[in-house]
This record gives sequence, structure tokens and C-alpha cells, in this order.
Amino acid sequence: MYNRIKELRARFNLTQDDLANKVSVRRETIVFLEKGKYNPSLKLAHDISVVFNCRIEDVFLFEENTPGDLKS
Amino acid sequence: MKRSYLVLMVSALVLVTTILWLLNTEKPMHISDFVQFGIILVLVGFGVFVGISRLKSGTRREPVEDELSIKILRKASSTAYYISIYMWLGFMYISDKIEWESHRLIGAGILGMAVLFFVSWIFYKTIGMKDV
Repeated sequence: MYNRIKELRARFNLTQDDLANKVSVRRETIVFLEKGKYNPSLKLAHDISVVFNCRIEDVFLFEENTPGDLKS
Repeated sequence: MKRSYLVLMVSALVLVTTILWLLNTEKPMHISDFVQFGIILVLVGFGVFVGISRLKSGTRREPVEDELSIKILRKASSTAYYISIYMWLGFMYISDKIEWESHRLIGAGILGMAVLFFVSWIFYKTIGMKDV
């Protein structure tokens, strides 16, 4: 599974700490997510997409969906 | 916070008990005793590391535990338990061949389980929890 957390975090000018605080997880979890070492629960995926004000499928993508297929 | 202090207290208790055992033992020390002491030191170090990182999380006002840390803990525990079944089976097999007292064999088994948990925890911390 691919995710755009790092890209969206930069766009929203958020640090890993900021995002971690907003979704109530440890900063380490955000690091693992950005490195693609962890597939989050549905709740965490939902919380992250709410922070970035977009749909879950715009933040988290399966391998067959390349970043080029995304809606802006 | 309470659990962080508990982890640190248990680590200190294990260390103090081991040092007391080393100082009061009347039997001559074998190399295996020093190896055992070394393993205990590593495990105590692990306990102190976990306790301090939990305290740091508390002071940074981030959750001490979250879904990732809990999943890593559960996966490491289950992996250690699964492998330890084979370890105990191995101990049962060699118990007839070596002349160890039963309490020493059980002690080695418990220490082995702790080491297995430590190694599994490091393993899942390194590779992450993708597709698990």
C-alpha cells in the first residue's frame, strides 16, 4: 500500500509531531507510515484523511493505483 | 506513567536480585553463570530503555501506547511464545543428556523466553507491521 502522508504533510505545513498529536498517535507511528512499514487501522486512516481534508482513498492507495492516477 | 515506573522498578528489582545472587553464591562460578548474568543485564537494559521511552512519551504529551506499539507488543509476544514451545521441547530432549538441576533448566527456559521476546520485539520494530 502506498500513501501520500509525507506529501500532504508538507502541503499543509505540518511536522510529524503535529500530525501525530492531531490523530493521537506516537510520532514513531507517523514515521513508520511514511516509510511504508505500517498499514494503519481504518480509524487511523480516517483520522489522517480528516486532518488533510480529503478522502481515505486519496491518502492511501493500493499498489495498482499509481500517484499519477490521483485527483488533485 | 504508572506502568513506566513499574517497568523501571521491576528492572531494578531483577538487577538487585541478580547481584545479590552473584555475591552470596557459595558455589564456584562457571562461564555459563557469567553468560546468564550477561543476558540478564541485556534484558534489564531493555526494560530500562522501554521505561525511559514511555516516560519521555509522557513528558512530550504523546500517547504512551498507540495502535502500532500495541500491535508490535502483541506480535512479538505471540512469536516468542510460538518459538518457545520448540525451545521447551528441545530442553525436554536435552534434559536427559545433560546433568542440570531442574530449577536451573527452568531458569534457563524462562531466560530463553525473555530473550526470544526481546529479539522478536527488535525484529518487528525494524521491519514494521506491514501486511500483518
